[in-house]
Amino acid sequence: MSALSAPVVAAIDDLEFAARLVVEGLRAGGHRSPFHGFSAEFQQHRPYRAGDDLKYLDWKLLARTDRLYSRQFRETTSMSVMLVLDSSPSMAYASDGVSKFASARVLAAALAYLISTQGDAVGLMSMTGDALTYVPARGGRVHLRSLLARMDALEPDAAWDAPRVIARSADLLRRRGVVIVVSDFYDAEQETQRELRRVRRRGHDVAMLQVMTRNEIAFPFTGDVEFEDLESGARRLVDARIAAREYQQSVEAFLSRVAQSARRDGFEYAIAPTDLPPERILREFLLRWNRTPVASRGGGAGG
Amino acid sequence: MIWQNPWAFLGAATIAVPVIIHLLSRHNARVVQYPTLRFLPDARSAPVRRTRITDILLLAVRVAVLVAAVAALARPLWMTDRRRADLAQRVARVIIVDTSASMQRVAVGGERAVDAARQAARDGADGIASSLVIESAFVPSVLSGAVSWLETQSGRRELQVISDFQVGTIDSIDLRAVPPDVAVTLQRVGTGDSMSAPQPDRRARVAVIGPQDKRDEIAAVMDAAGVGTEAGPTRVDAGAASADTASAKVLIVFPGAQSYDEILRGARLVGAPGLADILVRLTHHPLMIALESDQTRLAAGDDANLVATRKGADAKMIAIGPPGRRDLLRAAEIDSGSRAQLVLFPAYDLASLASAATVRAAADAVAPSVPSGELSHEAIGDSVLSAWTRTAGVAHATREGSGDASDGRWLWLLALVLLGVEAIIRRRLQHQSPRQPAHAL
Repeated sequence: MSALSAPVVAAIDDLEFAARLVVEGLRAGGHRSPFHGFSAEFQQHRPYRAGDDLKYLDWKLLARTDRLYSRQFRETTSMSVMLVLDSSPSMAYASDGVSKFASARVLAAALAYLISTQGDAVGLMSMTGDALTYVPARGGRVHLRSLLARMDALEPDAAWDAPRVIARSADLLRRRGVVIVVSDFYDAEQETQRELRRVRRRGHDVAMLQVMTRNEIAFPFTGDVEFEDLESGARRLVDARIAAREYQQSVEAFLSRVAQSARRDGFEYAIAPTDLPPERILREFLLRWNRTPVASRGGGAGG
Repeated sequence: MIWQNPWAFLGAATIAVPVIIHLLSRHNARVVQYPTLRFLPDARSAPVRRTRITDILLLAVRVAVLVAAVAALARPLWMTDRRRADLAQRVARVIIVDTSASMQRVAVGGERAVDAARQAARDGADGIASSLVIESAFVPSVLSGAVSWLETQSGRRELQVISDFQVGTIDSIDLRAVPPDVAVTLQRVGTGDSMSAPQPDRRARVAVIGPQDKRDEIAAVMDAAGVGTEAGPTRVDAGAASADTASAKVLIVFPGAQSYDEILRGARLVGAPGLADILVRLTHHPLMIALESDQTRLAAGDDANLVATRKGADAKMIAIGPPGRRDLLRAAEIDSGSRAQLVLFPAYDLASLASAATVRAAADAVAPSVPSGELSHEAIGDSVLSAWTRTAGVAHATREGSGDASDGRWLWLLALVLLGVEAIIRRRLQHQSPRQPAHAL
């Protein structure tokens, strides 16, 4: 079954339904969530007892000692994921009928659905106006619905402060977890990177989903155009044909910088064009995440 | 260079409209709300283009294409020396022949002035590439038409008027309608005292039929009427119906003529308009009105006096005369083979003055009237005609005169070349459009 197109998914009013559609598409492809079992920790060995699950048998120890021992793990606790959703005015820009915010929200909702249905805790951090909008990381269907409802109520008109939101989201993760930021990362580039590194140093994993429209990358404008900044309201009149080359060079440099910085700091990074189906974006994102060696994530789980 | 179809240049004016609209419409840039301006260059480094050189060049080439096409449609003709020489050889002449009444004068040799004018016109048109002969009794009325025809002709243009140039034929104000580049020639014919006074044309003729034994009286009547010339009424042998009577317009049949009864039998009421007109002129002739002879007085004719008499059961004739004596002159219509004739039956004696008056009045009534002005001998002087004469008209080239000759094909070729240049410039501009970014998605 082919993935639902971005405009179709964006047109679905029910965010929970849209998220479920995307996740079912992912599951139909047999993709494993990278979040499941991520936080299981080895505790000790104990002699093998009849009936123990063979997958917990320590085969290496058997080879060394000729004795049967089962690995015992600390009770598997659910992992906590905090979704940071950019609600700045720049996210309101739309191309081909799909706004960046609508696309980011579907991606975040699908991730929340996937995480929650697999038994992990998921929370939300965003802004409404000047105030933080916070949903703590918890599990359960009721919580998921409440989170999705809060997410659905968000609008891209907040006085977005990315470093503040990111820092706060890490503070509110009680145990080691994941911070997934869904944003265009236009604002406070340096400060945002610095804050993300701080999150990483605290032991959390960081993932970045950069939402962009095709227009912002290709710049298909011609003639005399007066551009108005959605966030500041500033205007600039340019000859689009003359400006195009320099614009595209700047955008390429920006995207490369963000990607390289993420790679260097050990973050998961993916660019999410609004014209691609959300299922495809998440599939590639999750595939890449699953393939990333534990060591490169900076001190992964035991096993 | 001359333009054979200058109206085509109106097309150039309409072409300017979309160009002006295009230039004016560039002032309003559209506003686009955008997520961020950080990637856009400064306005200084990406100025709003108003006068980019390549755009101006492209616009100029496109306008040049249209101008070349419009100019080609205007059918240009480059006037080389050879073409000028060919045009100079070519003459277009319009000849106006005056056919007014004064031109009916007869010269000593017997030729009427109008006939001499027609011959001169034929001589004038002989050997001319383009010529037109116009006959008119009023020359000024055809001058504008003659000039219009000349404007459609190429070569040297000439206007010739052949007339007796009686005062009133033409004047300097009339000649102002003729453009200064048209040569004007005024040729005089039928002048001087050698010409007789304009004579009414009596070739329609009046025939007199009387008793055979009254030939002398008939001759006397003719002489008394003053119409006994070769151009005058035909004298018919008394009592005999001659073939000559068939050509006469009016027959006057006196009592006693051998064919009297026969003609009387064929009589019917006057119905043909032409014959009725003759009858009216007859009854209004001064001789018929003022005549007193043999104690006979004819009342002034008007319709009230024209009373049909009854002959038997049919009314065949019109009786003319005072009340009580309406049988003095009766008029009827008969056929002579191909046409109708007016027949007068006088009751008075053949040898009387009344008969002579009737013959003369009938002859004058048959001939067309001559305006009194045309009877004047006063003519426009030769010096005046010389002053009005113009020579050496400038040779012109017109569409009709040049046939299909046109140098427009070179302008069409230029338009095609410019179209190619426009395509090259346009492709270069397109290739200068920014490349798509290499960032993988």
